[in-house]
Amino acid sequence: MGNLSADVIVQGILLGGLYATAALGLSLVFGVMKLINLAHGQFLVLGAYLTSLLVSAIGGDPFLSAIPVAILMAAIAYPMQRYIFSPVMSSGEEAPITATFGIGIAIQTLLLIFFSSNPRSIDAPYATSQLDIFGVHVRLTLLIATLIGVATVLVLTFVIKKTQFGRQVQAASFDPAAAGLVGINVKHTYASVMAISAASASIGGVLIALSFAIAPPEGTNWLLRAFTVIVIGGLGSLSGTLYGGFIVGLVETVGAEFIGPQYRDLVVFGVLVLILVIKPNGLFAKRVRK
Amino acid sequence: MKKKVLVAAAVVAATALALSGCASGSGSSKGDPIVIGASLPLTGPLQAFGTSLQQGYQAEVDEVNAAGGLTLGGVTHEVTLKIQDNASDGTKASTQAKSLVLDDGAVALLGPATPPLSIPVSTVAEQLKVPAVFTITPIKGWLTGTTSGYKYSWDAFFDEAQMTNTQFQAADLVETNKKVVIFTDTEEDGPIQAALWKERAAEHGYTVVNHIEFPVGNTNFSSQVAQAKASGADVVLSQIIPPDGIALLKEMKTQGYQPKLLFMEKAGNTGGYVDITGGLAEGVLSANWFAEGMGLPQEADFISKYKTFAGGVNSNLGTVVYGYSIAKVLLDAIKTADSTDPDAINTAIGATDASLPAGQIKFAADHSAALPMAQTQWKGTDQVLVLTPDGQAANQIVTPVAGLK
Amino acid sequence: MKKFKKAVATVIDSQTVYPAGLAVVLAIAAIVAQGGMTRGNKNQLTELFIMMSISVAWNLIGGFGGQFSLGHSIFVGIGGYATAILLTYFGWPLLATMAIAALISAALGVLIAFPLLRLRGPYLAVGSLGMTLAVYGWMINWDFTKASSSYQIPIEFSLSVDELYQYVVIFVLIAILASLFMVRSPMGLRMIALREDEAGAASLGVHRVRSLLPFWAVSGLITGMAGAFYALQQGTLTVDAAFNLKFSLDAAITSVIGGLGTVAGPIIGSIVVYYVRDFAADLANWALVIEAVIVVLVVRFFPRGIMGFLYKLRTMIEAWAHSED
Repeated sequence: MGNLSADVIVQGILLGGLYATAALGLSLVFGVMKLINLAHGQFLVLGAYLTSLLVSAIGGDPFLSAIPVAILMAAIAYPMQRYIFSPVMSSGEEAPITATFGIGIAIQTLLLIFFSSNPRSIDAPYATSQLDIFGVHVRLTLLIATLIGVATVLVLTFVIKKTQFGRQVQAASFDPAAAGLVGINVKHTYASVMAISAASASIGGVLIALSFAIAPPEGTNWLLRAFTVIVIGGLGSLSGTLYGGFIVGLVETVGAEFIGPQYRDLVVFGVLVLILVIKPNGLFAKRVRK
Repeated sequence: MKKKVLVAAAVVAATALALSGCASGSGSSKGDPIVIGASLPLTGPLQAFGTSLQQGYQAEVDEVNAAGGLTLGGVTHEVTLKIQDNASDGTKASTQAKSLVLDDGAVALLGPATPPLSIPVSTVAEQLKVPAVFTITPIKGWLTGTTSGYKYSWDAFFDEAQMTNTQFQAADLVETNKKVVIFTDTEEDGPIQAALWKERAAEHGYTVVNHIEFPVGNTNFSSQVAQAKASGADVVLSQIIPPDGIALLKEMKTQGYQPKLLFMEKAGNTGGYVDITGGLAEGVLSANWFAEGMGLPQEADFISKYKTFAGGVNSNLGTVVYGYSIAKVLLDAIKTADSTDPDAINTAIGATDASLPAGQIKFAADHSAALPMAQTQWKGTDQVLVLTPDGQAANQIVTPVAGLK
Repeated sequence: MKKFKKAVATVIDSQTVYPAGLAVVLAIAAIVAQGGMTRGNKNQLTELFIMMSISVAWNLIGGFGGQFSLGHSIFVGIGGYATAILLTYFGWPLLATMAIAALISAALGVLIAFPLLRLRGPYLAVGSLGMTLAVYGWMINWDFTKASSSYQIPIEFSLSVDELYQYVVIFVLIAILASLFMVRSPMGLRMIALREDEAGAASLGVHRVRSLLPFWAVSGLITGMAGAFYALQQGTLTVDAAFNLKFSLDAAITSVIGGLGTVAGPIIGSIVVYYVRDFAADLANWALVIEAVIVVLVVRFFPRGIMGFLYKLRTMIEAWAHSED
């Protein structure tokens, strides 16, 4: 069953765009601080839920509500990095894993308490529309997600290369001790990067809720998908995250088409496990810093 | 090193000793309240069923207490209904059912809804040899939960075999291309209903052009709907839980698939489904155990009493009715048994043959009691009767599915 | 003979024999005290001991071995389902079937360990998580395990609350003793050396994979057995329940709170967590939030959990007692 139509391929790539956007925050934090934020999936879900709340309260376009929520998420993530994650990052390998993991569980359970485990989706007039471009069906929300992803990568790349803040980030990432010596507030820099990551994750969550639905227990699934994306795309590379996303989206959609849609998750996670087993440091083992 | 472990051991010892000293006295004294336990999905995907069952159970318990309670062997006992929320999770349902019996002293259990919750509770009832009565649990699905037959568990609800006729009977009332697509999940009822539908389709003159299976909790239906749409079927039959149903409806709207008839079993039986789905479920059909015009005992009574709670004349209202009915079966059985001995109550339940608001309840050898089934269609806040239990047309079916336009 | 002598030397070492003896005494007490317990108590303790055994097993790898694996749910699920399936198809004696299920789980543990041991730190965490979800994704669609439907333990093999309790007490005792002896043995010391300083250990000829494999096998064995007991206690299994991430989570949480890398840690941690949850029964989810927050606080401020805290306390009191006035 299944055929490789243009629809399937386009759907796969655009789905990948959504995945890449969701994964950007994780990639950024890893690239700068070598921290794998196990709570990233929950950031996605939290952002989506908070936005959904705001939309129910004041109505209007979800993206309008997504912006203040993203800022709120950034505000929450900043002290989290500064006072919890940064201090434990020097205590060995286990501590950051447990700390980010613990925060993730706390967020997930809080969401369960306040919202129950029902999947939640965000409605918008265009959430269920499909465009017909040259005979290919294109889901509007996925297209928007991909565009946002690309735009964000461009903006972030620009910021990191051309602004003062960006140079501080590069320095703090390359050699924190030396950076501290030349007067860069490394703690502040790291915390700011986590804040940006959380804001980006929040937007990613909104896009997911618009396209499908999202529920607290799914935070882990999304963490894994995001991780797969950055492992394929190259750890620490922002543009690599985009490519990684497209590849994952394509593989999942084509896999679903031929093996069966109920095996979507299995395909993605199976690929992840396979890659980790064969190449523990990611497909493109050279670290390209952009 | 030694001391560290000793401290730890001291804590363990103290705890163990404290626990063994905590043995509560056993044996009921005169006039002690009779505890009936129920683990219900008051939150989570099945919360509509849980909260409605709670209403029904409590209504019957309150009624009995208002009339003076249960008098057994000359002693009057108040009935206490102890409810725990299992958040629609089967493991929690099992743990809570055990706790209700072992810790709270429940003499019998009233069930949650749907096989994934009812089967674990039935298992506990069988393990602890305590009677338990269930409803809102399709019979064949429930029976898969035992290999040698239930001894202490009882279920009063519809039988899938009879229920799977209603979709075709209803479809006959409308002009279609007789092509059917089936969507089912992989929990107990999915495979059972899919098999029955496939079996019945030919008899009624329909062709199943596609059968799509998916695991419970699936949110991405893009491939599945594309396949369904490509097959061009006018009739869609589905067995799907409420949240998955929302995702399915959304996907159908996105891809512009508007079948003439869309049956959503289980999801369609959620109160306020049209609201929950943002209007997408308008016109969706589902088999129902209660609807205005079905001719059940005390129909008008229950409608007027619970219409506001249920938000309309819909499945939630029906669930309240059924909850009330099985609670009555249980309490009447305790009265008949004239004791709280589990086996005596169990025998009394088996001897039930009564007319209840849900219909005539009499248990067969496999501990099931099949109740009448109709077809209803969502119109705003109500599920309107379109096919009576004996296969006659009632209100006109609106086609195609309005919400997916 | 030399190896046997060494083994006996390990056992008789007071640091090991006292805690071991204590554990045995407590287990006997737990069984003897049965008469004074209600079935409700025994049922609760059964649940506690099952959680404790998984915790002790996980701590072998996660605490002592420094490998934060989130894959233990796989072992629980395999142990449980293997038991259910074998009983259904073959109907061999119960304990024999459970032992076989546990062995299958152990074999799987070794199989999984090979790829996972190539990963470090967060990669191991994510990799094991990926494996768990991949296995879950497979099981939930597999007809053989009945996908989303429930799988019964045939009722004729069902144990009474009392019988199950006794078996579980003995089981958790064995798990604790196994953990104690393995960790104090030369094998265990090699593993701890690896955790503390891998390069240094390697230079002394300590081979990473070979040293860690036995622990993965034992950990898988114990957890698989725990899964079998879980299946017995529940009576019915679903993929959602048996392969639930909750088992990995609970193991990690209880070990961290109690004290990673200590034998008593998972024991204390499980007791604390279990009774906090029982106490806040209606607010079950709030208990989990509090636990998660405590985990984060522990990692931030009390790296060795309750046991570490108690140890520090003891050191402080000792110092005070020995100090000059």
